[in-house]
Amino acid sequence: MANVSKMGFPIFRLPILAIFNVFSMMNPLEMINFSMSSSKCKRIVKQFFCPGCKFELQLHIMDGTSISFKGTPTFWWEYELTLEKNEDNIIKYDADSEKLMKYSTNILESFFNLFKYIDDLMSFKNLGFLLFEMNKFPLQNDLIIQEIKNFKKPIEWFEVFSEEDVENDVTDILNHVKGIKHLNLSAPFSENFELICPPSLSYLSISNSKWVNLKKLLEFSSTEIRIPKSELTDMDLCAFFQSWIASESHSNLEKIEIHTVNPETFVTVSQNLPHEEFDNSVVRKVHSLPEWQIVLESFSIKRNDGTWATIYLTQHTMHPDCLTLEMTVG
Amino acid sequence: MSVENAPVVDVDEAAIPVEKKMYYRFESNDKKEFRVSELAIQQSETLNRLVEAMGYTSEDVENKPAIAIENIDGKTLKLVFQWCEHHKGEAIPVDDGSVPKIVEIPEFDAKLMDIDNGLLFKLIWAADYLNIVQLLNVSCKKVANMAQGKTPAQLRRVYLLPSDEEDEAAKRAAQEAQDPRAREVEEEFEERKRQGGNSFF
Repeated sequence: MANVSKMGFPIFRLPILAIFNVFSMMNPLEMINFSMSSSKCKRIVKQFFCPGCKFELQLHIMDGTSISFKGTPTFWWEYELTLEKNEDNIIKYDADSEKLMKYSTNILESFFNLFKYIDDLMSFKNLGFLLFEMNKFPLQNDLIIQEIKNFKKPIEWFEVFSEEDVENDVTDILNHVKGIKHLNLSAPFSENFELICPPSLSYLSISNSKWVNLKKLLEFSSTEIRIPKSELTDMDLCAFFQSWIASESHSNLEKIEIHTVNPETFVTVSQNLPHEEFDNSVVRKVHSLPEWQIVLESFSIKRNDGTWATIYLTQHTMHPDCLTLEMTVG
Repeated sequence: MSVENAPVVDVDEAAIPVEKKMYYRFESNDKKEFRVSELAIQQSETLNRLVEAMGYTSEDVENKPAIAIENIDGKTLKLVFQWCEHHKGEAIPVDDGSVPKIVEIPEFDAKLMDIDNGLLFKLIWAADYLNIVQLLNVSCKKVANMAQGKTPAQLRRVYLLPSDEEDEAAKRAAQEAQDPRAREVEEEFEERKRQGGNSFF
């Protein structure tokens, strides 16, 4: 065995599997720092990640623009870009996260440069989460959208927040980004906005939902729909459920939540839908509600193909005025 | 159990165990001999397969020469077998898919690995060669821990990583060292061409 210095540890003289074993125990920030030590280091870290990175990559374009890595069991490592020079390289610890502050005079440029470096290094198969607050860098939204479009890999969870109507931008992004499974839209779109759900979409949440009418609701194709502040009328909701019972829409729907309804809404829906006596011989899914939610009333309905569903009126335990109309299928 | 009390025994220094359990004899490349229990050997996939293939009886173990482990020295092998004896009977860990990989260094292992980087380096080589999964894990964890909170420049010092400039200089030096031979090959090629051969081979 060749001589080894007592001062440092010659990691590159280990067998490659041992080097990779060492890498497997480092967190993403350590791995990235290691890769930045030299070109050779970058090559070997790239080789390590060649089969694909198991960390989940998340981007947050907002106050505290950051790139996060989610590990298992759940822990986050994060780069946060800051304009404060005195915060540069400060590490902030939390119970379930470690954040390294990076100073930059041009946050977005540094953010995307770092993102491209990381994506090239770590061979992510997709982007786990993208939060885009469109009011944060309003003059640079075109640049951000172009960068999002340039990222050719699927984006699993996408959230858009805006105080302005950003209909064209959102449509543009949705037309170019593939593989969106979860979509959360929180922007005041005009009534003309037509959301074409990506085929991969399983969860759709719409805040500021003034633009959602019955016709649009019937076209949403995700398996789960959440509308926190609905403008839909009671009769719209009745029509929606009747459409489901007749198998005219939402054949894949598993759950819909309409938040902030009146008790009268449930009464109207209940009076206008055919109640089904629960058949104990039918095995049905168990739907557990979160601790903060209690069921006030419920009844069962049945689709014309025999599929059961339950419509609930639930109440938030901390906010008794907050009532939710919910349907779960199965 | 402390490191000092771990039941790895140099043959010269201790009595032969009287238990009925089988103790195999191994010899390092600097001729140090060790007796290691059958159960402890199971921590090493390599040695376990080896002794299974040999099919030794208790008599064979005593009468036949010690099994030579030619590329590990006595100092390193002593640590390896101390570790195996301490952890004998424990399940071989399997990867649970967590990222980063979660490995805790127990107190005994921490004391065992309170060694200089040179010996730690040899220990990792030995654990890898003998396929001792958990010893490899804890020793690699110790190396991974060296990266905590370090900048790229600090990591170069910790892990003795040459910078791009140093790599480039080493590459140039290697090329220059090769040049005389390259010149010889070229001259030989020219000579053969002059002699009428169309091909170097």
